[in-house]
Amino acid sequence: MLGFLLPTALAAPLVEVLSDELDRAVAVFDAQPETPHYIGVTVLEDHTVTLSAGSGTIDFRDDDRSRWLDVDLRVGTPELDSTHPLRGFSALEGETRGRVRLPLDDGYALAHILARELDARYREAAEHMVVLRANQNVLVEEEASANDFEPREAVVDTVEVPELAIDTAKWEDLLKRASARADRSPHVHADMVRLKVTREVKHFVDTEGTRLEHGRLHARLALDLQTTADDGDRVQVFDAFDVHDPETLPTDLDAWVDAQVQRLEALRVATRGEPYSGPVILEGRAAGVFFHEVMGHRVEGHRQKREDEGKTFSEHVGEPILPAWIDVVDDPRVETLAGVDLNGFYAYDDEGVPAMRATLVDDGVFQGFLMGRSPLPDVPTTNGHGRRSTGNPPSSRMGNTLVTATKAVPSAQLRRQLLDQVRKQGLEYAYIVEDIEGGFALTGRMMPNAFNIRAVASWRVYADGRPDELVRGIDLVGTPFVAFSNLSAADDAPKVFNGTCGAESGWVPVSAVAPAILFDRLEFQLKEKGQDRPPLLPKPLVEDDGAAEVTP
Amino acid sequence: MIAVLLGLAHAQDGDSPSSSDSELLEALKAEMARASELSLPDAPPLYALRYRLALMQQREVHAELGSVLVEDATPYHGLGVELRVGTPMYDNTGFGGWENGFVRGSLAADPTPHDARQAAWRLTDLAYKQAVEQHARKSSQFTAPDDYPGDWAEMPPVVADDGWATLTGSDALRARVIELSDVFTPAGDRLQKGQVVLGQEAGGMVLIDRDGTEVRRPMEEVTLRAMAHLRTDDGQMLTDSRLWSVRQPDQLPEQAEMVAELERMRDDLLALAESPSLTDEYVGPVLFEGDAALDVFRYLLVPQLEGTPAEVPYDSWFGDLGEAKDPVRIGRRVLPEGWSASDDPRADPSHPSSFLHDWEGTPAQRVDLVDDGIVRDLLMSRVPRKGLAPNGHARGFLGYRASGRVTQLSVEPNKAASSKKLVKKGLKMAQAYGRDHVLVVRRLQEDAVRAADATSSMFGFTEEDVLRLPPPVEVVRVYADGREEVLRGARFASVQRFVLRDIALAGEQRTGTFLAPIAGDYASMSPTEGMPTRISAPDILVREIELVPTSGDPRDKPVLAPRAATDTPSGARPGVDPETR
Repeated sequence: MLGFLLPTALAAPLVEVLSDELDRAVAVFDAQPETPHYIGVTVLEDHTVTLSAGSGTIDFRDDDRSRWLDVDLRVGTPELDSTHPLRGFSALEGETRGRVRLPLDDGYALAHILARELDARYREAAEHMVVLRANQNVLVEEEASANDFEPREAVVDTVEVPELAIDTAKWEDLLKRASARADRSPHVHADMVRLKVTREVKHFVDTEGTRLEHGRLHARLALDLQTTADDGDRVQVFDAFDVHDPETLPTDLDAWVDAQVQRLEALRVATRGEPYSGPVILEGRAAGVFFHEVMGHRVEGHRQKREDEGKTFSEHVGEPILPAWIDVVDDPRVETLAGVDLNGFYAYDDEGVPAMRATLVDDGVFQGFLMGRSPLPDVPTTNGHGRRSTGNPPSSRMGNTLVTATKAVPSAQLRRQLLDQVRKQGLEYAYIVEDIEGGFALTGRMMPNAFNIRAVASWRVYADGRPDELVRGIDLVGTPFVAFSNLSAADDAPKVFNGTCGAESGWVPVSAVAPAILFDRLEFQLKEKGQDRPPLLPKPLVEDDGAAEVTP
Repeated sequence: MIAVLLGLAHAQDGDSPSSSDSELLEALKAEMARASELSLPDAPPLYALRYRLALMQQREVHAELGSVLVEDATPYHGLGVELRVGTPMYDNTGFGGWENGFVRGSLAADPTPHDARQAAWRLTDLAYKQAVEQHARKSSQFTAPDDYPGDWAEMPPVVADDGWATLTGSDALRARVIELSDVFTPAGDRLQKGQVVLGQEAGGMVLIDRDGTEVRRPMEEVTLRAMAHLRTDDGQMLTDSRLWSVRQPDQLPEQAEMVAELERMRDDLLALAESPSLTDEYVGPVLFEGDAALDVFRYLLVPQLEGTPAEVPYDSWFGDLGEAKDPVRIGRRVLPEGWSASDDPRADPSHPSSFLHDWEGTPAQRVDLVDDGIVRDLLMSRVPRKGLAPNGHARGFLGYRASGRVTQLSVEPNKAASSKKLVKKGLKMAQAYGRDHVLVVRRLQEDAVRAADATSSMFGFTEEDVLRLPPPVEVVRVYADGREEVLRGARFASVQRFVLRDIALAGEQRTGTFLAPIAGDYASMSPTEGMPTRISAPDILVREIELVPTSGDPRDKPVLAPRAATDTPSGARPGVDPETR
């Protein structure tokens, strides 16, 4: 039986419709053989303004509003419910859940579509429950048996989200000028300067009585430049500013654009790297992504329960997994760090739980997991990390992953230590990974439990003092324990990586903050290489058009 | 999106391309001239290059039960590049695979000559490299037979300005769409979905080539599709839809007329849900009336009239790429004796399918396709077929190989009977099958609508897609005393093109519009996607058709049915625009 309480303080039209339909659904479903023990409903209101320039003109502008519905419905009991993964042949059973669009108003269609989705989720959950019971009977006991859901006290809160307001005329002019500036280079084959400002408001109601309205305002100013190198490599540089307030974005873009064009031109003629094993420094942003991929995904709570997961750290709580001078926490409550806005900031997760700080590693000792409301055998409670993008069930995910080194050295000293390692290992050179475009990790049992950090720009640092040499075309690869065991020092200048992380529960905004890290040994593999010749004819420049030149 | 709409009209009074459009064209011509410098060692020569510049304003609105679900007004500015290497007798085209020298890309929202020239530079380079490699793939696997008609029909350049269109009446259309979708609201407690989708576009396309062709064509279309889905108590999904496709908003019927039409559709669907299902297989005469008759010709006759040869399959790692089947034969009987069929894109200039010059710039012309029931000619693009010349029926879209397609098809019998006589003859023929009734089909389900699963926004395929005819919305048993019995839950079985030769009698002539897929099949299209196509054909009595029962799954019946509109916290109040919230 489900309890239900409508907080009158939030009796806005939308909440009223959601609550009323939820009440009706509970009454209907409770009369069925299979009954839900929990239903949560989320409506995401999205307002996004996008302006983009290329070749010195506005190539895209859009002001889009949309609303999306998510119904999280659990049939059974908190101990065993319909979200419990099936095993064996029954795991082939398909799910039909997808993105559900809602009307832009609160008219009848809203309630109609909500009822349709509640019904679809209920019928699917009820079917799943029937199969699940047999699945549990027929198969062996699971390795990590725990409840499927943690019931919680209701939370009622409203967090104001600032309105979206930008001067589009001003920004169109800025973007066009920035694009025209990048376009002056004959080697920039495609340029894109994009401003995307998004206001998301989430309305959350559930059968525990939680009523939330929260969200975020986010702006990203990004520059994407592409070329084709003579060896066929598609060379791309990307840089972005992520901020909570669009007013804080930089508006003098010349130096930024020039720097990125120079990076592209340098990478175009850079040496392609080769498979390598030896000392490596990951600069701060790359180190952040390293921890995100190598540790972060492996400490997501739900992975510790699945029979097909690698469970790298499941049995290592309380044991050292990193040097004693490393701490790792994930704290979505941190809005800004050292003047940089963090993309993984949020007030409430997607299961109606306040964001909390999760200590993952303390003095090198593994402390615990990122938790949503799916408990582990020895971890009964969430720490506010249940996240998803619309159309997916929530699971435990990272927010702001913060790595700190309690024993840090200046950057110059870290480089000296790198060279010491090169000489000690009798190598000609080491690598410093300056920039990355992201990465991925394989955490299951069917594939090697490896990670890949996709490097964009790395520097060869020679032991004999030759100038550093820019290198492209190589990715960092490895496995978690070996990589961690080779971590030897860090600098004192942490950097922020703001990005978006994709996993089973969709794409969510994240940040990773870390100092530069020295590894005594890491491994590079060749990145896939483009095979296209560069364009056969030179790029037409503005002056070729016979048109008036645009002065950036 | 109605990204692949080719509804064209001629002799427009709309704005001509502005001077800035002319500047774009000059930029493209400059880049086209430079393309003669493209070369790779030992590569066959570039002998043909065409650019298509499409500049269109677009509007899309999806409304459900009186509320707007999706709204978009992003312009479409595109550039298509079509590049051929080799010779007209043997080039890189007509061979399977997708990297073939036909490419497209977007131009900026605010296009400039510089942006257009850079896009042309990138796309031409890509098309050239694709064409050279595709030519090699083709020559490694395909030797042209002695009677091979070649890959490209050379023609003198064409210069024409058929006009340009401008977008009008969008705001009023938006309001109409919302109101039309609200027609389904009173039945909201029974319907799974009740939606109306608007796709509107206006602008034009300019075709240029290296030989001096420069053809400007208007592109203008307003398409509304209304659709409703209902799940019966036994789990069957009932689906019906209505389509309106015109050039300009003021060509739509009066709003009251459209509302009344949708009210009828809604009420018929509700009544159908209460009707019994077909329980036994039916073999015997079937009378196709109205839209159902048009659909029979659309599905079974149209593919036999479009003459562009299929691509030679590319034997690839994926298996054969390209369509090897060729359903077209000149000299084949496709209709009964005395019947004829013709197609003329200029026949009804007010229809969105109409054009003066086809997608390749060839002047449109009437083609007499069928005489005395036998195929005499085919609809052609500039891709040759033995013995046939281009006849101004090329349709396509940026990045696709254009092919000869139906635009305004007229199918005419040598004699026609009244509806009463059709039924009477049908009943007489049914007696031979031991039946006291004849089956009448008045509407077929629309593939593009049927494929839209009623419980999500995803599109998918169903098992019936392998059939040549979609299932009927309903079938009606008509008895000798005039009594009618409506049945649901039927689908056609074992339908073949020979059905058309088996027509016993024709009835009243009908005219309608359908959206033809640019590529692929109907089931892969969104509700307003496709090329508007006009068809005129009579009701028909077919001697023998097989229909079999389809059953629903009771598990699909909703546990939580939607409540009635009058029973919500917000009552039946209309939607509120986000701007006013």
